[in-house]
Amino acid sequence: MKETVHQKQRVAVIDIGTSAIRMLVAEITPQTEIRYLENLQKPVRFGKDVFTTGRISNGAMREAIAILRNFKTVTETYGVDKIQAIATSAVREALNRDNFIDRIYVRTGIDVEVLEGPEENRLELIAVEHALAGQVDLTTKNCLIVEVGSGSTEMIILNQGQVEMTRTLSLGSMRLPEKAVPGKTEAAVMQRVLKRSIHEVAVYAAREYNFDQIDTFIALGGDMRFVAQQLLERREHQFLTLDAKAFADFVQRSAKMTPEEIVSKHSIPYAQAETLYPTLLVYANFLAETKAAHVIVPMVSIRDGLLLEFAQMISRYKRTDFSKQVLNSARHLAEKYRYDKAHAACVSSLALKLFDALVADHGMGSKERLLLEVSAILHDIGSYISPNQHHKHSSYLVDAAEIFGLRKAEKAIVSNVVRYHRRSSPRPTHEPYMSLPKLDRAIVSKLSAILRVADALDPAHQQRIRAFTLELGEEAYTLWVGADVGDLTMERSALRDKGDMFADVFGAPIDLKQVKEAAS
Amino acid sequence: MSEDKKNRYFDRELSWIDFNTRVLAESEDTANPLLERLKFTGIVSSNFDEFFMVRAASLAESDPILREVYTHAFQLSDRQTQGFEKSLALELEKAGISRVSPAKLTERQREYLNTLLHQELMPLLTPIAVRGDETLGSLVNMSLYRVFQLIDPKAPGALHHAVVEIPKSYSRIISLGSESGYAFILLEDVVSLFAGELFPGYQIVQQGSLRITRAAELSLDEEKDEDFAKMMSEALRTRRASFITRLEISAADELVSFVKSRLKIPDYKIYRAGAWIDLKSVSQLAFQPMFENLKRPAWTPQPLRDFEETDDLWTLLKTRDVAVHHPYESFDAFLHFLGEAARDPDVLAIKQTLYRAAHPSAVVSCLERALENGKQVTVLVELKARFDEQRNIEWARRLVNAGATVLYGVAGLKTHAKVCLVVRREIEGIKRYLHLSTGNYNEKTARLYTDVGLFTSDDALSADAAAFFNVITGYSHPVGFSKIEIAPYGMRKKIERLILRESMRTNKERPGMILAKMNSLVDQETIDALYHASQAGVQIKLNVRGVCRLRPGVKGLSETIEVVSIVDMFLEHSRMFYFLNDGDEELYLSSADWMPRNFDRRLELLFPIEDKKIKKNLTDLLKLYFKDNVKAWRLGADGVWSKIEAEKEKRFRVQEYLCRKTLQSAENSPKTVVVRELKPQKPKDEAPDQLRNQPRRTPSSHRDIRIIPPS
Repeated sequence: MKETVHQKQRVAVIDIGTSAIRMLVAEITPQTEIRYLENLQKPVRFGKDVFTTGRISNGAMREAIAILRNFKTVTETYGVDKIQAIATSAVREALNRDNFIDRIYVRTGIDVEVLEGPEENRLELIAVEHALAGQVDLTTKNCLIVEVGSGSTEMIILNQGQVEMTRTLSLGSMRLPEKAVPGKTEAAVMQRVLKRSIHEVAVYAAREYNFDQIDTFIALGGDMRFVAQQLLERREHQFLTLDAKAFADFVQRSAKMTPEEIVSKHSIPYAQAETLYPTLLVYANFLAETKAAHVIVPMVSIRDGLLLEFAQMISRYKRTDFSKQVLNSARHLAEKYRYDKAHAACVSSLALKLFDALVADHGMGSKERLLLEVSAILHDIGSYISPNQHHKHSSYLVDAAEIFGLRKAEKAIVSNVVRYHRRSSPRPTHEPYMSLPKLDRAIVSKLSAILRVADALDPAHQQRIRAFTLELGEEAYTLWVGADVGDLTMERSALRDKGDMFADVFGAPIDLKQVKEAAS
Repeated sequence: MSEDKKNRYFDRELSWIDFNTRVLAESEDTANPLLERLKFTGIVSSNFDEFFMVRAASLAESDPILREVYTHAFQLSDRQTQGFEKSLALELEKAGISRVSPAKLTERQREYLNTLLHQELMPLLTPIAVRGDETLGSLVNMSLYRVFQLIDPKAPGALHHAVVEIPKSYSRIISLGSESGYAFILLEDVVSLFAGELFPGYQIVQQGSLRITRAAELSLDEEKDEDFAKMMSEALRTRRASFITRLEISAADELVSFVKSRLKIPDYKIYRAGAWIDLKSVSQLAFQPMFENLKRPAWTPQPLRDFEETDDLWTLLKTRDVAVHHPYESFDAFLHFLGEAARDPDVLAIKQTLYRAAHPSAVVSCLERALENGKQVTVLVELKARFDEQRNIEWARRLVNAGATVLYGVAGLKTHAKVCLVVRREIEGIKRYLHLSTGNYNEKTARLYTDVGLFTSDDALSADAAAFFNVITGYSHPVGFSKIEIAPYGMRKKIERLILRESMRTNKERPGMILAKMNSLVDQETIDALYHASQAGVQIKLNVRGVCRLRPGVKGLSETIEVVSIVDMFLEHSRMFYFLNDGDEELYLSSADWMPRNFDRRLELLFPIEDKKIKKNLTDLLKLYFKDNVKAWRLGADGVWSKIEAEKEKRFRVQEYLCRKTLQSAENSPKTVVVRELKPQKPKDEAPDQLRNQPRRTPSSHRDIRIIPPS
């Protein structure tokens, strides 16, 4: 009996957004069943602050802390075991965000994690897949997922179920192109302005993915959930499917209404009513760029994604495996910079073999293994800029890029690992390296050391060495390769150049030896 | 208001005065026991007090209806005074209850009063001279004053004036020893008797009694001040400074014009009272011990059978919903629920609203108990419950001191909904239990007001209730409710939709039907929806106790609408709405009347009854009200209320019937003694049963109960 009690956990997820702070309290089971207990939301005005002054004002901070304190009281009602709090768009961009996060922690005990766009995308995708599970098969579709928030718009393209591209756009209901002011700008002008901006996004994205291929449009977000509920009375699933035409008509009708009329017709808060039309226009324009005939509106949010992740954490029952999506996204990025696909594949395969063989020595886990693989894929992308110093180019390209599913800290590790795949090893004067937390610095060193060895094994980009056996002797590690690979002069020389870091990190040098022909 | 509109809706204030007329009729009805009639006279006065403080105060000076309202109101007061003096007082006298006038005191009685005056009263009496052209602006709202005209025999040319406040802290009715029956004297008569001692050296020319009523609606700037409780205390203090809406005075003309000039009050606001000013206090006599033959048989609310017969409340509520009907069934049912929650080690939290609690309150004690046992207790105390603020502030402080989260509601909105949510951790996970009601959490009024409550563990309703608390505590904006509707958000729309749906589903073969019971029907949009439904052929039966602006039975407008009002021993207070819905019947209970105030400026709840058996019982109950032919009134198309008289059919009095029925069912219930199994508890809860039984053992005093008009 006791066991049963323990299997259920009460958790709370808090989402500090641009225009509201929201919380879900739920009970989750190891079977990833989620039973919602509470759903709260309270408006804040971070957007106004951050998008004009770049900072969260003291008043808004105090307000947020008061709200979070109240939320905490509600979690106490249910004896909540774990609270996970995230912050997105406005907080992410605020210059004083660290101060803000710290004040929240000191005053409420709630530890807030600032989510980067790709991480947000990942949680959204978890929630979407859960909502559509068993009903819509994403692996047979090309699909555009859009969520228009107050401060940013998230965009994910799935090609036959694989993440093809993710974007976080600086466009939101509180952050419209300059010419458009909610409630003031004429509907027709608003439409023109937004149509142009979104078309630009599509055109730009088309360099990587053509919107014409998209046959499924999925719209996330409170406003869309609201519209869906207005247009359809009942729902049988965790999502609603709107006819594209019916949706367009609704948007047209909203265009003709003043915010006051919307408030009285739909009983929604004024602030939401004011931005309803521009928000819907953003969706409508994205929809128009695709050939989808329907709008699928999952009745879930990023908070559901957090809850699901929680549930998966306690269960090991059904884990959404995102490593594939992450790698896919990394390959996509690499392709953009015309990487040597075969070399990258070979290096990553060798690097992973080394990683696995050295588990007892480095003590790292699956997360780091994934980061190593991503680094191996991306290590040479800087050559697109210039072969000279290409490790440095790779590093900043990674910094600037979005890799689906990687948190900011994780991406920083990748950026450093590619930085150290050749030439200098980390030094106290290297700022990007020194600014990492201590533990992450150790990870960077270990991963770079491995990557350098793997890279050294394919100096001519010919993929001659595809397998090896690692031998750990008294004084040194030895890599044994078959006699069939031929002459190893180049490889040995490369390893002499690049193996220094390995010796430092693992405490013993590494040699390359060839099995004698006689063995056969 | 246009002529058209005038014909479409009755005037609200005049309709209210009609309600008070029906109350007065109960006091005139000789079929009622004498002391019961006396009580109704008291209620008429106390109703008028609130009317003049709030409603009359809200009318603009320029409103043409204003004069008419005063005329009607004072005519009714005249009728009340006449009835009291010419009938009730005489019958009381006959029955042995008599007011002794100062002239008729016996020597012993005089001696007794003299002692009383010097030992207790004198320090409480403070004569205030009204000199020159000083005003009487400092008179306190609702206090009784004695006013004197004096001369100084040494300078007899000049007239002097003074007022003395009759102490409120002292009982107005003073019992006198008497050889037979019950004799009493009014406090102001005692003051008058010894007034000479208050003005040494002066001679009293004439004297009289007076009382003023002031506008009382509070308006506060809630944004500015953080300590709401403190601010309310200030508001209470400043209340007396607001403008005067009524002067009641019992004195000769000369003294009246003096007071009038010093109060700067127009004639139409002056009511010339009889020999007993402010008849509210007569109801005190109605509770006089002895004279049982002059009272109605006392009604004892019966225990709720479902709760009596179970030893595990939570399991019972997980199996089915339970309804409770006050005052036929006892409020103990709720205290049982709350008491269980306070002691049960698995209960994590209790959240509830407190609008008008009793004083002292068993509910507050239960909550304090829960706090001692480590539960999280959140209470939404409504500090703006009219006239009860002083008391409300007290509980608020008590609960805060005990560690509760006490909130004072959403700025600008009174929390009128009655809801109590219990969060319990069970093996299957979190389970929430809920009590929703049409009546306040007040064990005293639950003996007098008819209200319906529902106990349930329905997940959707509980989730809605939890969300509702997040709204009223200000923790969250409304995020959507699945079963309940709340005002001021979706409730008005919901009622309109329900009425509209009925209009759309009605047809000749099967006319739609709406049954609704409420205290007041004022909201024009809702009335229009009802007119529209009537024109579509929907049968509409309304049971509206108080104000009704809807004009029923008018061809082409409201032909199929019938309006009745029940005024009887218990105050009708429950709000129930039934819709036939083409056979898929729906029944809702609510804390809200159909008034703009309830729809737009208060936090109210509307919730469905889904349990089939309970739905059937309550629907039957709702229909019963339209069978009453003893205490029911029907509203005519002309706006006249007429008593429904039993002709050939049997007499049927719904409240009496319900008392009988409840008793019968109590007698039929198997008298099995349930042995409560002792469950392991934390050492803290030592005497849960004591706690639960407490309210039953203490007979509640009727002294300070007053019937309050529609709230």
